[in-house]
Amino acid sequence: MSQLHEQVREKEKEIQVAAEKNRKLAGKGADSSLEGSADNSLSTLTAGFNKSWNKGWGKSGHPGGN
Amino acid sequence: MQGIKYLRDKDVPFSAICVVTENTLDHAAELYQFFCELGCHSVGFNVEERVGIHTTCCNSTQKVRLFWKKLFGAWSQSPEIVVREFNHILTWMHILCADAERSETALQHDIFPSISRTGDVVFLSPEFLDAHSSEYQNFIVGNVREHSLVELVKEFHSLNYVSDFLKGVKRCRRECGYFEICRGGDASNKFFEQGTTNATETVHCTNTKQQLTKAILEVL
Repeated sequence: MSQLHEQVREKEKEIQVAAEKNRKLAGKGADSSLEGSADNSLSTLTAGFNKSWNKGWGKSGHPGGN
Repeated sequence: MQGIKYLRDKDVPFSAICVVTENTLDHAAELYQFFCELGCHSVGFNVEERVGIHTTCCNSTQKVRLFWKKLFGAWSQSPEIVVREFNHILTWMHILCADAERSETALQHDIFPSISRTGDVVFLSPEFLDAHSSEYQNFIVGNVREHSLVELVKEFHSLNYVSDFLKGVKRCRRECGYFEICRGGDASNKFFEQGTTNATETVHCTNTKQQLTKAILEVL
């Protein structure tokens, strides 16, 4: 396990609380490109995470670029 | 601001992007509050980066990390809007915690074609539309007035700047502990910072991925 993975797992409870706050906000939005929809299943989250990169969210901030 | 007022009046949801400069790094909480009051559904924070003719960027790693810490603190206390960066990292962390046995997902890079007003096509980063490079033929794959986009996309893997980028990504994967978060970074940042797309760590990935992750873990 990498050092980063260990650091993350040590904060598992706190992460769950923060992720839940985030999920509720993201689920409210009209932008379906945001990961974190009302469906909180792991497969949906993972798909959303991958999709966010494939749509250029990582860099430009929104689908379609800067 | 008048345009935003029209959106709000008609209940049209919108997102915002904020470029964070050295001058605004000290005002994380105020920035967050401003966007909450603006009424946007989500906001993304782009820490100033070296792109095209813009040659300055935030070089103070410690200040950037403090910015993320204060911003995450403000968001945690009052989570009113989605912050793109927190959304991304928290989702990754949540997946990691929930699925200890998960296998690494296959790495896929979007071709991300961008088309200029004259029809020129570049791949990987829209920032390449204005870029000059004799080595990479200005990143232009072709023109949609002469070839179909489908034909141009077939050239993706034959381009020098794409194969260079993929070599750099392989090294990122091998060498960097943050690879799962950044997936190898952005081709345009690599080129504008280091003159080649065959590169690994950039100031941009340090500021927006590594420092962000460290800041969130420190605050939690």
